[in-house]
Amino acid sequence: MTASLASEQQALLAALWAPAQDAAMQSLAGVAVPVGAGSQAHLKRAVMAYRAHGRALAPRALAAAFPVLAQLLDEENFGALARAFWLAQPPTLGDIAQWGAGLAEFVRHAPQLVDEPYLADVAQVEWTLHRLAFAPDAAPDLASFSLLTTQDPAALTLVLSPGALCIASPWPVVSIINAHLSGEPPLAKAARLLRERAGETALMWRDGLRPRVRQAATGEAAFVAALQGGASLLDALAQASALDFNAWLAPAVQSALLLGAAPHNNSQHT
Amino acid sequence: MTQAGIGWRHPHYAELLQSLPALDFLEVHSENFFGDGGAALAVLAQARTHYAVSLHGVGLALGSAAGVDDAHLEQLAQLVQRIEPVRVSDHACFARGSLGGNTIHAADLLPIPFNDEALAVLCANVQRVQDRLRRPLLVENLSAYLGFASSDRAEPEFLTTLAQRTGCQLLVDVNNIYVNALNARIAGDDTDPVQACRSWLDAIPPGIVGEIHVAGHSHLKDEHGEIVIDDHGARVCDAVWHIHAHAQRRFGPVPVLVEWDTDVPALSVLLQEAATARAWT
Repeated sequence: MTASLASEQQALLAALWAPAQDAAMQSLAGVAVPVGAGSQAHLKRAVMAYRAHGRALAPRALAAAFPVLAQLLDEENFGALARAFWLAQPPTLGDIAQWGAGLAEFVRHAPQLVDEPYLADVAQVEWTLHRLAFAPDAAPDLASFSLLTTQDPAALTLVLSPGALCIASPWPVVSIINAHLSGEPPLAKAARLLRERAGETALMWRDGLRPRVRQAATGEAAFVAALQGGASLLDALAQASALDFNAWLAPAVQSALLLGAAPHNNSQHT
Repeated sequence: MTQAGIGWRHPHYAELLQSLPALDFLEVHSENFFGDGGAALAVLAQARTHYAVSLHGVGLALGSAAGVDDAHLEQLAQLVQRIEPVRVSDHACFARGSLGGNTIHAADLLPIPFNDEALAVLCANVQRVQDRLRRPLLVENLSAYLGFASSDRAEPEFLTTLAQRTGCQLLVDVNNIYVNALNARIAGDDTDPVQACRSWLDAIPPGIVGEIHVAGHSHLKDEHGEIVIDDHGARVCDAVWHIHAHAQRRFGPVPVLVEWDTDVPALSVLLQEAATARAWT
């Protein structure tokens, strides 16, 4: 890294992330100049333009990843949250769609949102759905299901949709998200479940190209976690004894949660 | 005949694939298609079967003293391999740098000084990208709202040297040149903005320009002062069309792209602008 260029760039970044305009200008003193024959007033106006870009980009970028959180907070509050997050945890990658992984924890600890404790879990599920949109494509291998009838479960595993994941919440996060995205359940029902503090475990996966979320069935979270962790079918079933596997199987295939069966090469079950 | 394309943005994904209008190429922001899979990549792959695609990046931050992000470059390389684009481009800007001890990315196209040190960093980063992609890159000039005291040469000279040292081509955004000239006039320069742009273009030798961008901009005047913002949110103004024509006469025929990123209008408006781009050359 070259010292002087790095320090110039550091000074401009410090100015753009300074909490106040005056502090921003101090950061730039002696490094930046206005365009043409401009004055310090023109330089100040320029810095404001760059700062305005970030303030406008932050809510737009986060709303793409957190559409339900944006609806729940309304435009003004979501904008304020996004701008606070922008200042506290700036992007680190050149793809703005990958900015927002820390928003759920930021929301969880935001003093102004202490009365809405479910929002952090909503954000956590939304971020998972957002990233699932970029997960590898995977096609079902229907022929492989014949292994279920010919092979020992200890020598088999099941192939789930890449990135399939469960998140347990003490709040009805699935109902809240689906009520806002699809209208099912109705908003009134989601609101009632929220008042009743009905906890839900969200199961997220890709159905073809579409990220989806639904409530996990009894035992399903442990089953999914075991399979995604590389367990054999026998071990996964042992870790999810409450799961009704026979009832689970067909809908899982139809919804592309379950893509196929495969030999389990690393089985330690004896 | 000059090739004309449009910046293909999300509101027009479905409509364009259904109507397949006559365009010489589509340009997309590379980062919007990063990832291992998903709907965006599928849509782009479908478009690629009908159109040449130009990948235009906004995130490499080629002028950053902190260097180019390895992961970003790998994702771009993966996308280039999949799409086989007609051109790959990004900007002569910085965005990566240190803030509070951490390396951040400003998600903006921030200006760099025009001096030896910045040139060396830019050349090294461009060369690294070209080595990884195994193809020449196109590097675009910025609309810059401020400069640096350490600059010691004009932008055309700086960019020309970049092209000569690395073998990259230039993507000349004539709206950016015009926005810079307008802001210089606001700041007190008495040079006619259009003439300033012609002089800028005349300082670039023919043969190193691989693409031209045109776009709209907006004038902002409030209690904080006046500034012209390069927001890509309006039709291309007549002055920029005249500058574009000058550029085509000097460099052309060079593929020209209509960019529109803010308040994106109906696809038909973009197609009209692309037709205008051809008519002005």
